[in-house]
Amino acid sequence: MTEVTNLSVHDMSAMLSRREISSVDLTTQLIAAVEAKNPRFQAFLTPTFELALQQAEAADKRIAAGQCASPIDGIAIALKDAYDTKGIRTTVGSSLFKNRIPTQDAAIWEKLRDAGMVLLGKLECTEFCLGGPSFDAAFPFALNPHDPQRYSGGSSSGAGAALATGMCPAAMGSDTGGSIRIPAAFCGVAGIKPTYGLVSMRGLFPLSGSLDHAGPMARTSRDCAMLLDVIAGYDPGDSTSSPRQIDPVTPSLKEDCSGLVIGYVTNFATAEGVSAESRQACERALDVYRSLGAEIRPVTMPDLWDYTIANTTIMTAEGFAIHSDRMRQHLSEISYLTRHRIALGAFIPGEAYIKAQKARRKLTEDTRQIMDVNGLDLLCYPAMLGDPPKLDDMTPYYYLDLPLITAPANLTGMPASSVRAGFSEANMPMAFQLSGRHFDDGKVLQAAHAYEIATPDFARIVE
Amino acid sequence: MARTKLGDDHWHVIARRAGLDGDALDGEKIVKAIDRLGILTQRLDDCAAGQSEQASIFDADRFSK
Repeated sequence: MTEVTNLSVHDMSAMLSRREISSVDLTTQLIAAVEAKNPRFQAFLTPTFELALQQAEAADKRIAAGQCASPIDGIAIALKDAYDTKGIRTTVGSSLFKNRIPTQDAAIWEKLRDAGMVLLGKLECTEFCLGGPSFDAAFPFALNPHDPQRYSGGSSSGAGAALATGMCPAAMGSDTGGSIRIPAAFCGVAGIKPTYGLVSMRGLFPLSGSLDHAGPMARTSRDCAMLLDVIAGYDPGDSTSSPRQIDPVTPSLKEDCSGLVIGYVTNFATAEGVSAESRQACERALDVYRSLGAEIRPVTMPDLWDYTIANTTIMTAEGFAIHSDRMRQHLSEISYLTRHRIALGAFIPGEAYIKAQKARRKLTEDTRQIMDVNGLDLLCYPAMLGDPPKLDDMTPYYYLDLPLITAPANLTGMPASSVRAGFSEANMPMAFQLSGRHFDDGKVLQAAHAYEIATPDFARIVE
Repeated sequence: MARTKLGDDHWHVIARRAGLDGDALDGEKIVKAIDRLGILTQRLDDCAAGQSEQASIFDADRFSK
């Protein structure tokens, strides 16, 4: 029998509405799971159990009175420690912020709290949301539950590890070059980087203002849809928030894909560094889509390196601008890997940044045009080059050696999901990406959900 | 973009100008990374060619519509 802590948000919601369990019982069991497992996986940085139980009690009262705030009322969530939470320590993984207590909530937490969610705690993230663990970091980094010697993916690493081990059913991550999709892929869970502007970033600590995205992670894409329905929306307090918004996604989820046209991005799937296993996992997923009624068309996009280097140049320059004062005054207090990655921004000339932004516009337009010409609803390509790297093999600038297969969606602002796709020979999770047109997040999650329903054996929780 | 290989001394000068304490950084790794980045950013020349100057302005609304 499945432990209640391992259920999806969707199933927990059904149990709560049928009064088969109370929010307090559910939360109590999740707290026990965190207490038992966190010493092993190091996913939670700051638990908020007392608050969680208070919020769960309030949720139970609303449910009993028939005044449910939302379908996710009474369900627990944990936030990447880059989201401000009023009165609760928010470190962004840095020793410089080890005692930082925000005075405001991030926009995302305002919405989730108003929807009745229960805050279980703050999740480990690599320092300043830069991917890659540093061995001298102020806080222990979350371990990959499938193999602690391998990288859990960053920077939303705590979220990936907590979801994969049944410590929480839902989490919020952020994604500047893949920081939602990489840990989701490496830990075998689901995550979506929404369309740029769809979800407010107010109160999310920035890494690169024009590339940062806030988004949900969960164990299923349906759960991501339930969370996205709550957090999406225009926010006048965030200058990047778009007035253009989308209809709720969850009601439109279905299990067949007839009429859907998916472009298989063959040059991404065969790009430098992509393993045969990763490519084959993607191709097997496309076979599943064919059986679900979708049409698959091979397509060639601009070179993956072009997206990668434009993304890396913008992120590094903007990241240095954000952290330059800290780098000048507290360099030795910033972890080895982080300070080396941020320092690179001091050496990027303005000319390169401007060219990267021009390249970004061109690559975005080209991507859209190729989708138009080929009549594509979605793009499909691997979410990872291969198995997660061994921790011992990671260097500060590993990301300059190979293209970043998650970069295109950050650069273009298009929505992209990581969808689990079985296990490799090394018994590590594999995943593919689905990417859609701007504000077609619903279509991305519909297709991801249909695939997950058709492949239930790929869901696995590490006990 | 014209690219010149960065020498050990040169990176120290730029780091100092940026206000960074070069002693807290691994110069060899930085120099290699800057050179690698320099090679990679040459790709941007082709990508950016033909784009108007205004194309470099990040405008969230126009970008996502």
